[in-house]
Amino acid sequence: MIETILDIQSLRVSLPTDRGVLNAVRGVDLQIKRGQTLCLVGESGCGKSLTAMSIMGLLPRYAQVTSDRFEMVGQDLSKKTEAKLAKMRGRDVAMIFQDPTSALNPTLTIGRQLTEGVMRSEGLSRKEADARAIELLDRVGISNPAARLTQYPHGFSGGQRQRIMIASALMGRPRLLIADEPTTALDVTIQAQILQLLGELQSDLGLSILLITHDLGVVAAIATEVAVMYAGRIAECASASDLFATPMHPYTKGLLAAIPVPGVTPRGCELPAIPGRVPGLIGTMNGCAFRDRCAHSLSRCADDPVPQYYPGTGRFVECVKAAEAET
Amino acid sequence: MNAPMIRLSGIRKAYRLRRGVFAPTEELVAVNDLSLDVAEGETLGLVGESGCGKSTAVSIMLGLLRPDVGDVEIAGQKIGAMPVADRVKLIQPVFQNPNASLNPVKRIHSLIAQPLRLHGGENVASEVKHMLDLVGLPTRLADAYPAELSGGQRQRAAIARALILKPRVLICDEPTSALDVSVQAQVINLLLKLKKELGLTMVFVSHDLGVVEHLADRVAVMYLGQKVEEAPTSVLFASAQHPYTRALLAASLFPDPNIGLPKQLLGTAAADPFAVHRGCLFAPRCLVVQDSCLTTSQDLRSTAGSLVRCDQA
Ligand SMILES: Nc1ncnc2c1ncn2[C@@H]1O[C@H](COP(=O)(O)OP(=O)(O)OP(=O)(O)O)[C@@H](O)[C@H]1O
Ligand SMILES: Nc1ncnc2c1ncn2[C@@H]1O[C@H](COP(=O)(O)OP(=O)(O)OP(=O)(O)O)[C@@H](O)[C@H]1O
Ligand SMILES: [Mg+2]
Ligand SMILES: [Mg+2]
Repeated sequence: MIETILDIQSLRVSLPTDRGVLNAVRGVDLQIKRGQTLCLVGESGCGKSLTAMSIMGLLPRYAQVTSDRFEMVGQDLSKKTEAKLAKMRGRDVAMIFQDPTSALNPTLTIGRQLTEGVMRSEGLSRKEADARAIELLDRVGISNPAARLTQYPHGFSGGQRQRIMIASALMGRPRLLIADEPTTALDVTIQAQILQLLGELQSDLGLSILLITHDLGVVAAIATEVAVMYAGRIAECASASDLFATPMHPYTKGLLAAIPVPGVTPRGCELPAIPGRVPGLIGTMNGCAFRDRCAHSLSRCADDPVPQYYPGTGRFVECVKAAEAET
Repeated sequence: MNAPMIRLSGIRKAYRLRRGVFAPTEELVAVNDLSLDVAEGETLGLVGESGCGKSTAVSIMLGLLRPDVGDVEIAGQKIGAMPVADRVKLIQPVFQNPNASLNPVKRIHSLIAQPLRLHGGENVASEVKHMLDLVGLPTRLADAYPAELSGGQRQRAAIARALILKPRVLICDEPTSALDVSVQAQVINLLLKLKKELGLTMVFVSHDLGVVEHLADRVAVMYLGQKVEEAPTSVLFASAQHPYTRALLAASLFPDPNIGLPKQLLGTAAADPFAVHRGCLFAPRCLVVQDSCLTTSQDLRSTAGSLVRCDQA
């Protein structure tokens, strides 16, 4: 039985700014099935965190959100009240935030921060909640977990704090875990441990994961599906093996080419960076948002709508060239 | 041979902490007996586990934090005795998060000019223009606010600001970890160019071993406050000797989905910065540990151009 945990269609998020409306998310479709790991990658500022925040119901109040469909675990989230959403958070879906320093409260002990939520939502006793916290801290590689419960966040390194955040997100045993750059602050051995841990939790609990990252090594290691986001839209979406073997969108190709790989990229050579920058997202935009930076752009790339191309097996590309190359 | 541009000799730094509200204070040794030499024009990569003391070492190098023991010399002068005005002209930092280091209500040109204004520089306008060119920021962005720049552009602005006093040393603490790979490539290309054109000496802290391999001439590996291995980059990546370095290299991920998750070459015990060890600090997690490692502390010894803190290697 395949169960769709998350199904979003045409998600748009706009934010009023003093220079006009910022259309940060401009029609995003995402689907995550039970047990899948969808990695969301893309340039800084392309709307990854806002997409995640809208799933969590944690966008700022002034944000305007619309969608054609917004379902989680079969429930229509767009019709949920604030109170219902708050209840789902932590039970059905939990999130590990991008910045571990600001996500932990410096005035509360680690123990309080980990256990408070589940004591309230699941009615666990202090002892039960502590036991779960200790088990999870141990699992994410924090030494001497029982003693650590009485410690405050300061004095833990950035990496240690992030591991505590992951333990904290797992306390409510969620169905969908959203992880916003969960390993960016970690060294590679702990990163590998955390990814391993996420993989185990996934098979033990049937957890689905939406993982936001800049690191295509992380994507290659754990993604089942990858969505490449650019300027508020999904440029390309494919299974991990298809995406790395045959990237189709020029932006995806540019990303893959820019990574220095030891033993492959000559040391100290100039790396093939993508020139230019992302367009501003204030006001309306026409055509392909990547065209100014694209080596293959045509005059038609300025036209709306940008052709979408579905080359089978759940794959999706939004690009004039990619669509034409095949038809 | 000239004196090294950066010399750390026998640095130790401990934080005094309580593990709980009523617990007694304990010492957490963040950096222990760390010595490093970086020659002029050289780039040293500094890698190691989260919490192993890299940022502490960097703050000490920059003169922002005083070591408990040991000396820091930059260009032959003790950093502790140096007036701030001299120090900032010699050595400058670039940190991970360009958003936090750029005041959002100031325009880019005034952010870049700030160190020069503070330290009495001349020709501010033309220097700023020169810096914008150097880091490849279009002049039109001079009047923009940080929020109007992309992540890579903001990091370039931060680098421009760090370079406007023409320091001879640039200390980068994870300067690209918040950037996507194409922007990261821009920043790496910029650092390579600056190194070539200005002869900058650099220390580059990163968790991304691919980036370190690409940029650094030499790499130092730290574990629980100690340097456990140091070698020329090509030597380290080809034939790492310390078991921790090997574990680190083995855990690197590659953009290839056929590889999957790497095998862990580390014991499951977590590194405990509070623990007091008699023997090798890495012994509790070492896969090739011998009985003697638990009781005998390991010293750095040199083998064929590298330094390694392991008798088994
Ligand atoms: N509260 C807000 N008010 C106004 N603009 C915002 C707000 N939050 C985000 N933005 C803007 O919306 C856009 C998308 O932001 P988002 O945080 O989703 O980017 P991201 O893809 O997560 O980037 P990064 O990789 O740097 O984390 C950016 O241009 C950002 O500046
Ligand atoms: N201000 C502080 N007070 C107490 N302990 C601290 C403080 N700053 C750092 N530490 C501790 O010192 C050790 C070294 O920390 P440091 O930030 O230098 O590590 P790092 O190598 O930069 O880690 P990361 O890769 O996570 O940034 C860690 O165990 C940390 O918990
Ligand atoms: Mg983000
Ligand atoms: Mg650090």
